Amino acid sequence: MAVPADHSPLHPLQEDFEDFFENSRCGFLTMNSRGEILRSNSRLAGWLGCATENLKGLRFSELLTIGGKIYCETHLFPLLRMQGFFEEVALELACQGDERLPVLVNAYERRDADSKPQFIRVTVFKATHRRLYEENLRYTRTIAETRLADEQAISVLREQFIAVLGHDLRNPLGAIMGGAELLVSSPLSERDTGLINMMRESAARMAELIDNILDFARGRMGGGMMLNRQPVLLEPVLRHVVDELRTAWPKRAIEAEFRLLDPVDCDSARLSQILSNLLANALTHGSPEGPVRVRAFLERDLFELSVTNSGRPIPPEALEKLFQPFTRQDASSSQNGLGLGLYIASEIARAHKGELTVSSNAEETCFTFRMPASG
Amino acid sequence: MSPLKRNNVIVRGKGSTPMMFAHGFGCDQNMWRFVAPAFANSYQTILFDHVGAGRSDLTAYSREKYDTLEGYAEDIIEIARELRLKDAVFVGHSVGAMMGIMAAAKAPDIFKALVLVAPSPSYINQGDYIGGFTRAQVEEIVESLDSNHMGWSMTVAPILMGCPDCKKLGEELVNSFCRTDPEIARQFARTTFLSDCRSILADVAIPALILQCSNDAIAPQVVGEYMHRQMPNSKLVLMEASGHCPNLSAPEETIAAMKAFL
Repeated sequence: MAVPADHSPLHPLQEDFEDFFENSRCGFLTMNSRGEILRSNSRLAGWLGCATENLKGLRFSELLTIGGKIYCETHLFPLLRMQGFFEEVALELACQGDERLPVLVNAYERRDADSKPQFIRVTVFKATHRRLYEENLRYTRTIAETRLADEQAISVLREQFIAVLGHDLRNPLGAIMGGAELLVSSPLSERDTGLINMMRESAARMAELIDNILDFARGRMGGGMMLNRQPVLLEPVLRHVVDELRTAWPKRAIEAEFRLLDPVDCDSARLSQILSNLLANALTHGSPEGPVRVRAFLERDLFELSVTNSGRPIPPEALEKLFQPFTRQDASSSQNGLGLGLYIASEIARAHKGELTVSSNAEETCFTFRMPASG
Repeated sequence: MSPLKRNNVIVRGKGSTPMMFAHGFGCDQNMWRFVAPAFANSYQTILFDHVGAGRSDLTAYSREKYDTLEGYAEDIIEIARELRLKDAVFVGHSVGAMMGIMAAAKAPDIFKALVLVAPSPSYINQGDYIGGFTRAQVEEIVESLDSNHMGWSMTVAPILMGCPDCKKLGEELVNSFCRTDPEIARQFARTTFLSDCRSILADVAIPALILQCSNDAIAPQVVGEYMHRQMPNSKLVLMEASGHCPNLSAPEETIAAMKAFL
């Protein structure tokens, strides 16, 4: 074992506590139990612009600006007596020539064996920069709040605009659809019949888009989705939707399978909308060769509706955003509409305390809606 | 709502004569923690928090009612009525003393004597009257309340700032006494420092003890002397105690002066 080197004194220099007290980069002062200053260091006196002797006998509050003075006498001093200390209190020293020095103040009460106060020790830290940061923070917060309020106001206007626009588009569209219906019943050439049918389909599609916009605007404007719930036998309702889509897409195969023996407590018009949106989505994006399969069943308290199609899988990054508004699965597709269909379907699901999920792989893409059947 | 619950009224003591303690601007009934127990053997001590302070019911706070000291004085009368106080001793600190004078002027049957600790009927110098502050200074006091930096709000739990971790922090805050809602503290300061009760001093003829501290930055000696001149049946005691809160800094001297008076 090596013998440790002989211990020379750790500090050949005498520690100079006088220097520590006087010249540390913070103010020190000590007061008697009456709150009168007994001694303060030259750092503090320097900040105040006076000699340490001038501070003797003063109360600490006399070193502060008027607000701090009142605060000190009415809040801080009581706090010190009750708690024995206080920490991190932001105050301002009133320095010579009307200068103010922002400081942070800590203090503790030295008590004797009977808990009687003997001395009050105060430490004062310069806080000029900190105060500046705080002011900047407050300033930026004010600006951010103003901007947010402005943006919110604009956003409300914008959504109101969408709602009004959507609503006002309905009437002229209704006139177009009515006119097209009338024309269909008159004798027409084959070419004209084709044109009119195209117009009717386009108008129907446009009506759907407007409905979606209105749903979206209502949901966003805090009204939320209003449900008209009641127990419904869903099979005829859902079959009707499937038939509609079959008519609209005559070349495509839609296989439907229903096991719905009991009523489901829901808004049936909204559930039709989910199915309609999911089916339209599957027909648009699925492979034209494969069939689209609709399944709906009720098992105890679970109602489940799923729509499955084959075709290219949806990329994972797109899956994440699928239920957000204005999301288009495929930017090149002109049949995509506004990208509100899936968003609205998921909102309807949510309003029913259910959920809409999606899975997609090389074989198939499947959207599933589940909700508690008892509401 | 019961005023006893609203003002967090705590009744203690073995005596039959009631002694009601009112705190001033800043803190709560804790201000009397070194004084009230000294009277618990011979008096029934009644402590309370002004609405907005301590453990009072903050939902009872009303900006209209507490915009003047009358609102606070009404509460004192309501508490007294609820407890069926008669011939009680009122002990009020700072602006709390003024509320007591108001209550005594309005309902003379409740109190038989007043102890006024560091009182001031008006803080602003006006004409010959010296209140200790210029109007500009009082305005600065009120304005400084609007600046978060003056530390006025330091005693408030930071949950108000809306950060999720702050609730716990708030509970652990070291400066846990004397918490006040900054909005309420602001209005209380305004009500306090802009009040002028000089005109009612002469209306109160019951014996009053004025405890005047030396070197009080808030209620200077000339103010105590003014109160003494205006109140017909008052006694002025100049205390050795320094500052604005002799009930905390010099409880023995405060208790001795009160006992001598009573």
